[in-house]
Amino acid sequence: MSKFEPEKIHLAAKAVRDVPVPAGPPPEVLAAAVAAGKPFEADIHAMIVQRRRYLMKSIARIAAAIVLASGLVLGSYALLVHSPTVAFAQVRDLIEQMQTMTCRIHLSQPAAEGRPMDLDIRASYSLPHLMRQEIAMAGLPGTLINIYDFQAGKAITLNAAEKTATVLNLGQLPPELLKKTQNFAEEMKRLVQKDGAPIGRETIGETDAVGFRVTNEGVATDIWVDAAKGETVLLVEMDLPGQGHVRITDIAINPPLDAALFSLAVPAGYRETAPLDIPLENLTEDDLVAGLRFLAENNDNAFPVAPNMTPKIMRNLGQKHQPAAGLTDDEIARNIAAAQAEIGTRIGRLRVFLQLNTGTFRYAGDGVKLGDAAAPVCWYKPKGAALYRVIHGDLSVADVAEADLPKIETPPPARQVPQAGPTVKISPTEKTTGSWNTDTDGWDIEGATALSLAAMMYGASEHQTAADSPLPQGHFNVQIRASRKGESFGELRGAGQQALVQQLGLAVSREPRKMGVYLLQAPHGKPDALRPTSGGWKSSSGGTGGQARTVHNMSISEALTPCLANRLGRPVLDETGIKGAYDYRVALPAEGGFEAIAKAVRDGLGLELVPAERELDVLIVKWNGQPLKSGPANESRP
Amino acid sequence: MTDWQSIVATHSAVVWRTVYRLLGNHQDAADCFQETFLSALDVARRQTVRSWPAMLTCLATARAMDRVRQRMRDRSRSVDVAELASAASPEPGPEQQAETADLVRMFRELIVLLPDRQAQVFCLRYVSEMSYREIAREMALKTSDVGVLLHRIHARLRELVKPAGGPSGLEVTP
Repeated sequence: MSKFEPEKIHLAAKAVRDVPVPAGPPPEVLAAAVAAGKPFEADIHAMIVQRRRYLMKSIARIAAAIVLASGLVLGSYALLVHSPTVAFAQVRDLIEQMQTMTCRIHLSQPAAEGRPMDLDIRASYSLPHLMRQEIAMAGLPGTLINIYDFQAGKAITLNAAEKTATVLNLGQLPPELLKKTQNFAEEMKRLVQKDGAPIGRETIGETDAVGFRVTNEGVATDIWVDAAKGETVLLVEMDLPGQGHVRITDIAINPPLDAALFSLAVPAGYRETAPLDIPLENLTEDDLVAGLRFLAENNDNAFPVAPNMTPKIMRNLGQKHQPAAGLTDDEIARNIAAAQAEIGTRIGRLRVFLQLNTGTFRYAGDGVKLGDAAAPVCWYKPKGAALYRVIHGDLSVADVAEADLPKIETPPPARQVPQAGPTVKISPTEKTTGSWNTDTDGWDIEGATALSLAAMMYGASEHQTAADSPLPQGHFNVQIRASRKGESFGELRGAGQQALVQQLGLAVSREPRKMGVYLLQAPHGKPDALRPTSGGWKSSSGGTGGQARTVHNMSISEALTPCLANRLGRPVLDETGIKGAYDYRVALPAEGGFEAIAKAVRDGLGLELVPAERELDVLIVKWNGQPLKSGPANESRP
Repeated sequence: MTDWQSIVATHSAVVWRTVYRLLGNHQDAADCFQETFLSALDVARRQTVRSWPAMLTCLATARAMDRVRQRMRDRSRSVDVAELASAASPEPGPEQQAETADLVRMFRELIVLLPDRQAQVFCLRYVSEMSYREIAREMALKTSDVGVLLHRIHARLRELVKPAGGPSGLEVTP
């Protein structure tokens, strides 16, 4: 008989670890395990594909952040280099006193595989060196927020959908680039003296506008200004040769902007991922060559339509960095961070180099094979040099006199022929179960009521949407199709909004209104039922038909209040004061009204639901009584 | 190779090692191996798997613990001492082999006296040598809670193995 001493437990564990394990499992056992999964292969595959997509998007998101980081002063650049003309003294005065600016920028790069890499950016500037961009990008759900402090050489990129924050260390930015922002007002004063050639009158929105074209360093920019007063810049359009078309609207000069908009601190509720070092200093021609090589190698060994990321390159990079099925999250995170840093550095340095040489840089590489020594890809003239530097498909560089440069077509004028917009078709349906699918080719909405359509098109909660008149009866299918050129999420939504007016006769506005709500409160502080999350993927599932709703790594307002609002048919406001993400479960009854649900929330989570009245921003929908337009008129082309 | 084949092929070794070390029996380990992958299939169809090796190790440990418990209930099936005796370090003498076999058996007998969750955490930490963070992630715990739990487990084990004669004393008879 032997007694076991407590101290021996670790020895015992070691003995178990050291148990010799024979080779195994036997082949028939292994085969049986594989066979067991056969019926579910599609499910498993779908799950893995979903995860890979997520990871690819993670790579794509940081690529987007970097592309834009390297664009730096894209929005202000357009106004900086090509400002309104002498005809508009008031505009000039405004610009001279400019301290802040907000605008909306649409960047449309040349189409690759029929899909341009369109970006919709809401930009805010606090001069001389702070910038914030809120970006909607074709193919990426949600909004990406980038905040830059050019002087500090730092940026932070916030993924609003996933509540993650990544700090980008950009190093000391090239002084020439900083000068452009720091001497903004001075440079503007000089440039506003430039003459612009009148290009006509147009109605922009509801305003009569006059346009002028300013050409500077080979880049044509059209500026449209309020014709009556000349005190508002309505629209700026410019072509960056071979790189894309920039359209800037909704320009406001010197609006009051909260300093918090430009804070580089990680916002509360955001998870900070590992910072990325994307050094953008000490740029040389080698960075241009290395960047071009990187793009070509990831574009099936051919140079892309523009010296920038394209959907194809992003897809190829996503596949290249796809994690193996068996990697741990930590290994995957490390691989992604390495890929992001590589992409950021290569593309970032390339883009900033181009930014510094915009005036003389020309790109003609579309389709040139990597290694083709005879085909020129691009050229530029270094500052102070007599000769141009021409880079060929084999990435060799030659000095060439201006007269001997490859001939390319003159860039088209900035003002483009208006493109056909998305088409929208609304039709009645018997289907009453709503569904909404979106991708970059368009949206398909089925079985929606007029009220829910308005809520979808205006991004509002249906519980905060109210009808101020009888609305069209029944349910509707809506198809929004992108034109062949492709549209951004915002443009598709805009087309949908216009179709609601034209086809359904709806008028939509927003106003504050008092309405019945439920308040979610935590009278006893944070309940134990909210378990600290172990992190990782956010998920919220179940909760219907009496099933428990299981939430992982999500806050109260992200998962619980929307779920309760859906069940209760009223907005539910989070007044718990509980911040952060948690793991939790709550079993909501399959049937029953407020009392039953409030009890379930109280018993399951220790939280209280209290009826109340609050003033909320409500989407108001009215109908003019017109029947749904049918036939050919059924399609809107805004 | 399909995704599932690839998952089974990639992780079969870790699952086999986990279950065999805890069970020490070829037939039981083979059954448990199958059960582990069936459980994994069930999990993967319901939720996203963040780390296959960690998830499979947890499942394998849980399934093996179930089986050890079942075995304890059915005393007619005993651990193959001869098989365990070869568990000792290189070229051990007969005395050392016997001691190792004793330790292994004691470990199994003790561990089933713990509540399921504690037993699983203990095995994951000391047999599979997973980090606190990995254990926390897979078992939906806070990392610091893993430390607290292990501390409690140690206290409980001390309680269980305090000198024979007490109410909860445990004497191990070879």
